[in-house]
Amino acid sequence: MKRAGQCLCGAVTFTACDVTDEVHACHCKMCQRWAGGMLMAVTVPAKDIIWTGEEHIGRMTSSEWAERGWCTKCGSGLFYRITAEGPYAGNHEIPLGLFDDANGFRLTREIFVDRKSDSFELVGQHHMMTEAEVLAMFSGSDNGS
Amino acid sequence: MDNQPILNFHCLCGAIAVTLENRHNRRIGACRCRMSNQWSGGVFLSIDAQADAVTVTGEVARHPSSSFSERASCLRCGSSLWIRDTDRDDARYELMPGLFDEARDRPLRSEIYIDRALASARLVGDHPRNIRADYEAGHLFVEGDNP
Repeated sequence: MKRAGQCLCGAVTFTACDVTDEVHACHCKMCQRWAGGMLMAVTVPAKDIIWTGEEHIGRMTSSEWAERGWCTKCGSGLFYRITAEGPYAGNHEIPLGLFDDANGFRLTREIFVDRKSDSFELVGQHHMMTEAEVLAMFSGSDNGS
Repeated sequence: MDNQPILNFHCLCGAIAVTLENRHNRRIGACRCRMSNQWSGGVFLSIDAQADAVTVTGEVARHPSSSFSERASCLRCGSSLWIRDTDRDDARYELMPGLFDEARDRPLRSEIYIDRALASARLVGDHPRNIRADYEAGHLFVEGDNP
């Protein structure tokens, strides 16, 4: 499905095609610090997304395998992107709240659940993965989350 | 729940450091409005703190997201830091709890703008929930569809 979205101030927009309906939540401490509580996101391969307003995208290398982008005008988080080689290379994790229409998504997975804040619980039955399980899943490809 | 007199936090890259005098047992509030969804990715959570309890060091990017408030982030890594009214000097901070390790066991106080919550990001619990109209009846708000 084709979906569009934008940051809070509208300086950066995107259009994505073939967007999955699966949403996941990451509770790692880096995502907590960056997004304020957790990162809820939708995976979009690099070939399926087009950005406008790229001059307003700030980028920060947050690990050896990924970078994070945000709008330098309003501070909205825009993406977590895999920069390392491998099967996940170029994948963008797009924050759920950026989509103009966030209907039709379903939460399918929470990761780093052993790092999660106890302050809240997301509704629903979905796959839960600990930090060790996530790292084991990615260890074969040498790409972390 | 909290015995430490001072809570320290920093953003993802460490450029911003904040200390919070821990005077009260602060709970976590959730705002589900459209602007908060866009800014924080889906579930906006915050800890309320009075202005004179908060000390900030580092380069802060401030976005005037309405005529009466700002949303602050780290200039270097984009970490969300707070939302705060700008119409008075002693306005309280709504600080992002993800910045604090100590905030992880604080219960949820309430959700506002619950009628704007994303369907795939609903929260469990019997805490109070207010719809947009209820909240806007008692607070300053942004006109239009965006909230």
